[in-house]
Amino acid sequence: MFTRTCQKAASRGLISRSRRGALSLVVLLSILCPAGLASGADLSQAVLRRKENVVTRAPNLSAQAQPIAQGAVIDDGSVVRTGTASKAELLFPDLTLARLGSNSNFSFDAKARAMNATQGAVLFGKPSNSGKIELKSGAISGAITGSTGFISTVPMAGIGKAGQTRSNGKGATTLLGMLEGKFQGGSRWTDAAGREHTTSFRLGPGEMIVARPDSPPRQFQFDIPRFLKTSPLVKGFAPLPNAEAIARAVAAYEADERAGFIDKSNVMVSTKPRVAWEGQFPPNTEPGVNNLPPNDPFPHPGPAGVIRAQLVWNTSADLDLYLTLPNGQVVSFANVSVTFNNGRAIARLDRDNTGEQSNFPPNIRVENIVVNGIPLSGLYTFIVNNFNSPSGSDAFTLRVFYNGQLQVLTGNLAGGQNSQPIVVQVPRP
Amino acid sequence: MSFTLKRTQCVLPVFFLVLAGISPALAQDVRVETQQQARVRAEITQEEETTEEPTDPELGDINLVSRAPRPKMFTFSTLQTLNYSSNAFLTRDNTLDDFFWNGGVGASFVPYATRNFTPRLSLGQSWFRYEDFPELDFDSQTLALDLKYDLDRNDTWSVIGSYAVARLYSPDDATGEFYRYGFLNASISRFSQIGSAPFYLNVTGGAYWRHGDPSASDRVSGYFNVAAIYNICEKVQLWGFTRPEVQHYTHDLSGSSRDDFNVTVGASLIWNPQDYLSVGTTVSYVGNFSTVGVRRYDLVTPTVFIGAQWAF
Repeated sequence: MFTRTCQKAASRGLISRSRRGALSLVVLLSILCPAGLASGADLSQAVLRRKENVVTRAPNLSAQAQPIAQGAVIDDGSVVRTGTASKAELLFPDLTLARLGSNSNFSFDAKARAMNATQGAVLFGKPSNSGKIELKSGAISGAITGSTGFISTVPMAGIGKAGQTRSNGKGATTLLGMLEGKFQGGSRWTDAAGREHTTSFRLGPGEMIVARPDSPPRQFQFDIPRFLKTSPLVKGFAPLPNAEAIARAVAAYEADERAGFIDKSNVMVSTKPRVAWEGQFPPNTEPGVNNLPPNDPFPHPGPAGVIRAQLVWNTSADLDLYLTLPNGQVVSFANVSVTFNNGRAIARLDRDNTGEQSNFPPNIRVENIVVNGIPLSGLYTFIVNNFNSPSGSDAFTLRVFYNGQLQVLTGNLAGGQNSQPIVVQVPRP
Repeated sequence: MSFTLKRTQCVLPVFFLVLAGISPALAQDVRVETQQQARVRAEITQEEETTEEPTDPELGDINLVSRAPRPKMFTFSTLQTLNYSSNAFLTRDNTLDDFFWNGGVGASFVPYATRNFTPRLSLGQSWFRYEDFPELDFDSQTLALDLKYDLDRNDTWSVIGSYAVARLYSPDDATGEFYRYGFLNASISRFSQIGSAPFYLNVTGGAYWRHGDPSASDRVSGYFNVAAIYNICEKVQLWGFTRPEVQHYTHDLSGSSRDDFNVTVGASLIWNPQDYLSVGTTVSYVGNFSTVGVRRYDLVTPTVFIGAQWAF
């Protein structure tokens, strides 16, 4: 039975466009499957079973990432990243899988039997016959045996402004939900007095938790069938490993719904992407802009650069623009200028607008980050953080322009909240 | 918090109140699943207070719902208690005290349930063994059908109708079965949280009719049951309860009309170290005031107990 399952997994991996990767997968699974299933979870290596658009691998978090092909084997300790509008599916020898959404960072540790999702959305599935593994993301850590669920973390850069106090702390918001099976773990958080706490929790099918490092976790219940029908990490992929258990969880949910045990709320999260437009250089259609240079992709004047990012909002909130460079350095109000690539490139923030003044009439606030010189190859990640919001929630638009491509992200951020990232990749020369 | 724990916690009061010397009517009545309501209410309160909306468009549509726990279809339980009775023979004068052990096992079946309606069929077996007065030893078997209907969707108001049959018999074969009876009960309960603290109040009003063979204990009764519950922490609860009851005996041996006023006051401390396990202690006082003087008695019963339950 194990052999058949392994063969099935291996044959799926043969979709690979990389012959070398496919061979590696077959060898890997044929060697490791029996051992992995017999002795427990095996996270020693994974194969990139499926990829969409940009997927990279780095030896560690601070190292330079390299694009990888479908079928590639990923070693323990490596960091897998996905770009904008990208997806990846990783398959481990014990048939545990992890599907990564856009702009995700994911790593795994064979010795600790741990998977670590430091950023972005991950759907995980683990057969029940291969032991326990640890799952870590943001403030949450815990164990799964045979389970299917999702986890998402949006990190902050975590640098406070001098003379100001964050209303709700720094860190990340982590969302963890279970489709079937159980998750038992804890959430670490720090109260206003600086005392550290760990709140234990246990999740079953249809239960989810939202954890922040500055407040106790909150537990919710969600609509399992709707999630399965709409999730980009479920649709278009092969069936999940524990399909029968998921079917049972759905059946139980639907039976509870018919018997009246479920009251639906009006709270819904849409899958519609917040990237409003992506493509070639667009016409400038924003109203109220009439003095821009022709063909400038940004609505408001800003410094020139090889890579350009412009954050625009129109409230008195203090929004901040962050750039994480391929070498891990962060450009923001706390570090407005960074020279990198052996002095051949510089990234700079033009201003720190704390929301108290408008840069363009009537009430437009703008921050720009530009990269000039010869940029290091790798991923450049831009995010927006709402440092302080008098109004509770603030709309913003983030534009990033590189190599003739414009990416636009629009949305609303509450105080302390981070946006989804926009990632651009600079190829190797 | 699993539903198993909720069920465990709601069953235990039934046992310890029985041990306190209260009539089976109270055991039926307490099946309002007070503790379960407390847990559910705590969860609902948490959700109502929240303003945070989980969000990640990369994941899929995440519609938040409120999902009430469905009663488990099968439940098996056991409870073992050690008790002291200040008045083993329930007499007015010349009281005699004794220690006794009461063990019990039970099983229940919920064939079907909706959000508002829960029928439950229960079967129980109990053993009572006294240290100094073995002539008081007896066993009992009970079969009960409870019909619980929630009048609203926030677990505040509920009504229960139940009917049970029971037989009591002596472990001494020469004596055998000495009493059998039927028990019809109807009650209405209101469960509410007091303030924002984890403090809950359950008030029940009801009436029952007991008819048996022999018929000396046949009676109709009206009662109130008030239970206050404080969750000291997640796994420890403090209970206080009282139950005034008016009883009219229809076939008392005295041959004349007999009316009693029976009142119970008590407190319990319950610890749930595991979902399926509960350990606790309770102390209760029962005062019985009767128009037939010889039927008056006072009783104090401290108890320690351990209970386990498995539901699926």
